[in-house]
Amino acid sequence: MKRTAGIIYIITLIALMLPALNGFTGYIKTKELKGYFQKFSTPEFNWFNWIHEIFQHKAEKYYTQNFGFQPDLVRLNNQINFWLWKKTKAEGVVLGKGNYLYEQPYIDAVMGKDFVGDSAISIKTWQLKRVTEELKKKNIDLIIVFAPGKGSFYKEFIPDNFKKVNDTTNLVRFQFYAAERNLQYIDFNKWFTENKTTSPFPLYPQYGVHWSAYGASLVADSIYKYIEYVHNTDYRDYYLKKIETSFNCRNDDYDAGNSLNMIFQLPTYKMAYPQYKNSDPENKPLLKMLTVADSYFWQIWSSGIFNNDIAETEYWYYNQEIFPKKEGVSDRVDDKNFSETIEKQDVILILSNDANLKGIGWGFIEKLYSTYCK
Amino acid sequence: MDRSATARIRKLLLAFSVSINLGLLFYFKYSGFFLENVNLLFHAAGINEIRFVKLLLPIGISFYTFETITYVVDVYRRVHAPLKKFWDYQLYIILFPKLIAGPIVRFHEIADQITDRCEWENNTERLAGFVRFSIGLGKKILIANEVGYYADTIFAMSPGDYNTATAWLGILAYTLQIYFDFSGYSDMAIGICRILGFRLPENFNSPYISAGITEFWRRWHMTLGSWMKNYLYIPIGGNKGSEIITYRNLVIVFLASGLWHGASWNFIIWGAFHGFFLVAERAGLGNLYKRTGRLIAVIITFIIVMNGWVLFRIEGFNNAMHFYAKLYKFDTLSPFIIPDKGLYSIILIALFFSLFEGIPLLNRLQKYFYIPKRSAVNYFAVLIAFAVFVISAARIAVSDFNPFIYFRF
Repeated sequence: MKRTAGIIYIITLIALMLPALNGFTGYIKTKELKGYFQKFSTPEFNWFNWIHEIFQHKAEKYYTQNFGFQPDLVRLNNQINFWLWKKTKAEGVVLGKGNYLYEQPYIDAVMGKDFVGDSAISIKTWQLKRVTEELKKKNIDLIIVFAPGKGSFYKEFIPDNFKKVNDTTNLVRFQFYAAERNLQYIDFNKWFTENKTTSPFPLYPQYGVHWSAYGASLVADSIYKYIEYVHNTDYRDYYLKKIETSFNCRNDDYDAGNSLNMIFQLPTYKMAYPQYKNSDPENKPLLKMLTVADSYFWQIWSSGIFNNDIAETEYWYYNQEIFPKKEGVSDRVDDKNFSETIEKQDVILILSNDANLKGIGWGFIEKLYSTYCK
Repeated sequence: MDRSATARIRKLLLAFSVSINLGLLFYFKYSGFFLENVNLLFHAAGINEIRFVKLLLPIGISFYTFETITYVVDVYRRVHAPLKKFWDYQLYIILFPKLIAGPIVRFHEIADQITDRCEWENNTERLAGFVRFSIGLGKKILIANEVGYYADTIFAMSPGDYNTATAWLGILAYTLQIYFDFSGYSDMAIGICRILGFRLPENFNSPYISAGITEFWRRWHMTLGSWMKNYLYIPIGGNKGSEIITYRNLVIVFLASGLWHGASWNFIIWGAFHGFFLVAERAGLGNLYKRTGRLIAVIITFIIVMNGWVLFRIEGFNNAMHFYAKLYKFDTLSPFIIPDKGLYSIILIALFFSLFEGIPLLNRLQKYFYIPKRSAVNYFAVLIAFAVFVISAARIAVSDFNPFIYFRF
């Protein structure tokens, strides 16, 4: 019995010392945590920092974040919290009914909490109208795309404690003014809702913030066809190379789920990942398009329709950062020659989901207006 | 002092030592409070106020000052011989697990262990110490911190911003927070000391199953109660005199207890609050509890203690009064502050662990976790303790971790 106690004591001691040992040696590699969070740097020890308690606070934060197996312990805690209380620890992530995950802004958009007012929307759509007319004279088509936000698409899973704040929303008024002002626009909200239950694969993932890769590929196809119609040009063709299916969500289809940082992936429906390829590389003209969009364009980009020799697309992410990145070339929008870039394009596409409608364009529309309409 | 044969010299040396200890405690902890109140009187009398600098309070000073006092008093009373080496004395005072927040260990309780711990230095004791430490850690991290979030939220708000039910839920949360925080810390201190070969006295014994404030103070912060009894209550007369003298002594002890907890009128009033009920129980309230039965007495005591914690938690007497008004106003119009998911479950778990000792079967089960025996049951306790330790560590790891899904401009 004495011996048993001794053995158990030694085992316990080794188990307790493992995190510290691994923290120093880094011998056992552990999966990094997902999501964006502040990483604390090694605290600098000096007299000033010590006396003013700067070192102590920084050291506490640094070592809490950097002790051995910390990511695994975080995942353990998050898993237990989820199992017991359905609690999540990701900033801005809301756990809806049936474990559907949302980001807070998408719910706010549906509830009208972020409504910017009718006059602001009226002015913006009027600017869009004017810019559309001026660009059309240069044979450039300006197209607006309204992407359905997750809150709009999965209204039924929003927790009951979220209540309607406004009778109307940014989306409703943008839809109204876009129609009234005869803008060139595509509104995917209605189509997504109509096809929610009949689509062979989910148009929206349960644990992703954005539309699914499958939903985005259908959107990409529709946008491309619309561009050909509006611009009256038969651009290069493409074909569906393959559709991979999986019960393991890939990339953005599980982005919110990843930020929960749990041990086990949540069970999901079968998701589809179509891939398109260029079928006519030489004969038809290459579409030149500038897209100013929020993160909803990423899945469209991944479909392969707006790159891969089918189209030449420059993507201005929130009108700040440029993709694709080119070596030796600045990736900041501010560094670009604005009018030169605009006038090279066949199409300018502005895409926003309903949560971002309050700032759609992110300064781009105003700059277009001041460049071409004043 | 120990070597001196003259009673007068021994008494003088004792007085000198106690004065220095209490003087330092007064200087660091109470001088500011004292001068603030003097200044209030001066201000009222139109006299210029005394300027003073607020001092940083040395951590744990209330605890180790009391321990240094037990040392000189125990030596004076010849309860135990003094330690021969300076570093043995330092070991007694600065023994790190108990330095900051107790238990307050009287010198004679640990004196022999300073120099000889062979009896307790074995692997079974170390495992028992680990079990105790882990349970304490779990109490603090998994219960006290969780209920504490809600309590902190409520007490940071103005009472006008929530209803009566919220106020009661808030004070219940605090009642559980302070118990699990303090007893958890004590468990950790006792556990670590056990690993090192020391046996410290117990500090808590399920205080919330007390049927009366008298019993409460025999179960809550027992080492403070023991200190107060042996080094203040008995020296000033205890219960040897008349009933009135006994009541006076009890009130003095509880005013001192209140003041020991903090340099503020709220703490003094809290002490007086408990002293009042203690006296009342001796005067007849205790007999009433016997007639109502234990369960009713426990419930009444719990409510009295909860009300006392209001003074303990809230700064400022006026603020405490506003909170009391909210507790008893039956306000249903103001909003109910909904707690985070899981709080109700944690409160129920906390209440269970606070009260289960009142159930004999569960009481016996608890002993398996705290008393080392060479049996398979204790190894199961080690497993449970390890799981609690890991889950607590996981909770600590995630304290500041709240990632965004994406980087935001």
